[in-house]
Parts: sequence; structure tokens; C-alpha cells
Amino acid sequence: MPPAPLPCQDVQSRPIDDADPAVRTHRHGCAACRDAARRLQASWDAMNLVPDREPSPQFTARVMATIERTAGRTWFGLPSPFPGAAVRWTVLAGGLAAALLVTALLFNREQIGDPANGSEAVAEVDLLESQDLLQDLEVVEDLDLLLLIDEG
Amino acid sequence: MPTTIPLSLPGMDPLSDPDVTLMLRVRDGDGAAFEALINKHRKPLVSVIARYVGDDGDAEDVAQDVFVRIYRAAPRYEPTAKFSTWMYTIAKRLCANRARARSLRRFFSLSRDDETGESPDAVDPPDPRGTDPLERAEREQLRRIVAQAVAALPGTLRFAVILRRYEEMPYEEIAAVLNCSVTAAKLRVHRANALLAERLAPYLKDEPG
Repeated sequence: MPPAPLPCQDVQSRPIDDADPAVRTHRHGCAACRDAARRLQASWDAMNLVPDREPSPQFTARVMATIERTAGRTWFGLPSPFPGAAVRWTVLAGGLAAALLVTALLFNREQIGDPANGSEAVAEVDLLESQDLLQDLEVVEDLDLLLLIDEG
Repeated sequence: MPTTIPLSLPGMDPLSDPDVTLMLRVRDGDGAAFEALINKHRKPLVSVIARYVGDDGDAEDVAQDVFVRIYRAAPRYEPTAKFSTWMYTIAKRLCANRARARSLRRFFSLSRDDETGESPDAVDPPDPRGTDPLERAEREQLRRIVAQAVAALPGTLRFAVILRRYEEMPYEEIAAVLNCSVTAAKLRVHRANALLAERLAPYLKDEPG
């Protein structure tokens, strides 16, 4: 049993270079589809007027130079001892983790020490004052006081 | 850049592609293999991008960026498709990024040189086959009109029709590059052609077939 003939709508939605023999047969026998195909073929052929572009003779050298120039660079423009983006991301993640750890230590009252003991502690208080952190520590001290009252 | 390229062609062994073999050598640190890949693909790649962006200077910059990204991705390269499929997928993304950046620039009116189409300076040498100056001038004008019409097509239609018309890429591979079905790839090529037929109709001689 021969395949059912294609409807015009189907044929007219196929690309002009469709290799389906049923499409070609339909176009051959249908004036409307042949006319539509002729218009498509005209613009398809006109595209041929836009020629290939010849890259500049320095193209390959420029690509290689770009690769060489940017290979192993850090974001700060310094040569990286770690090749590969994955390693750099790991280093960045490690750096962020270390920064978070330092911040946590700054907030830890045990690391601050007794403000009454020596110039080092005074310097720490100065540092905290300058960074508006002392106010936060007062809250921690108040909490500690409450705990002492409870224990007492 | 993904570790494994999410592209594949049904029934195709990527290792049968000689460019994949070259790319595997690049992965192993063979610079000469990379240069061979560039030399083989630079002309079709620059041509595709030039037709897409409609601007010669930018096309070469984008094409260089494609190769730089391929090189940087080489250590993680796993062959799952033809090399050209992967290369054009990267090119398509970079072209789309560039188009977005251009639209933004135009929106904020930071640049006034963003007319779609070619630079008026980008003129090819005259065709020695044409002897009639008037005929040559008309042909050159039509060439510019066609180039501008192609560059003005919607992005996904444009890439599809360029790969098909100029690179004669199989529809299966176009579908892989555009991440769509083969039917959708055919439809995009057809729609692009139909749009061009509509826009170029006033300029094309109506020759009954």
C-alpha cells in the first residue's frame, strides 16, 4: 500500500532541501507548493552571495598568544602556582573559609581576653571600638552575667 | 564549561572523528594538535560567526574566544560528539552573549555603531568575473542586503540556517548544536528561509521556475 500523500501544509513547512522523496513528488505535482518552493529556493540561492570570510593570517598566532598570556594568571594578574580553574576555585573557597574562621574568632569572647590585663588587651578593645564590634560584645557579656546569676 | 559535553549524535562514534583524536591529544598537552585544529576550523568558524554577527572585526574576536575556551576546557574534555558540534555549540553561546551585550549597549545608548549588518568599510574586492560595472555594483548591493537580512534573523533561526546553508551541516548535528529535536532544527531552517524570502522578495528577480 503506497504511503498517504502529504498535505500541502506539511510540505510547505519543510525546508527547501528536504530529502524526503514524498515532499519532492508533492512539489512536482502541486502548483501552489511548487510556487512556494520557488520563492524559498530564490532566497536560498541568494544566500550564496554572502561569501566565506578569510581569517587574518595572524589568527592562529593571536589565539596562541592569548592562551599564553592568560595561562596561569590569578585575578590579581600574578602568576598562579596552581594550574587550572578548579584549583583556583578551591583556593578561593579555602580563603573564604579562613576569613570566616577569623571573623568567628574575633567574636569569641574567650579569644579577646580580660580587658584589664595589659596594653595588648587595650589594643584589642581599640580595634573593636574602631570596628563597632564592642557594642555586640556587651550583649555577650550581659548574657554571661545572667548565667553567673543563675549559677549563683 | 561542563566537564562532560552534553552533546551526542545518535549512532555516531565520536572517536571516528579525526578532530576528536586531535582534541584528545590537546588534552594530553599536545600544542601542535591544537594548532592543527585551529588551522582546520578557523575559516568555517569565522565565516559562520561573521554571517551571524554581520561584522567582520567582531567575528574574528569571537572566533578567537571560541578557540581559547576550547583550549581551557581541554583538560576536562570527554569525547561525546563530533568536535565541530562542540565547537559550534560554544560559538553559538558566545554569539548569543555578544548579541545580549550589544542589545544592552544599544538600550543604554552607549554606542551608536550597532546597526545590524556589515560595516560600510567591509567591502570585498570586486568580482573579476563581472565585467559590467553596473552589474557588479548591483550584485554588491544585493550581497550587502542579503548579508544584512541574514544577520537580522532571530538568533536561533539564524544559527540554524547558517549551519545548514553554508556549512551543509546535517540536521542531526544542527539539532545537537541548538539542543533541540531534528524536527525543530528543520523547522528553524525553514522559518529562516521563509523570512528571508519575504524580506528579499523586493530585491530578487522573479524568475518563474
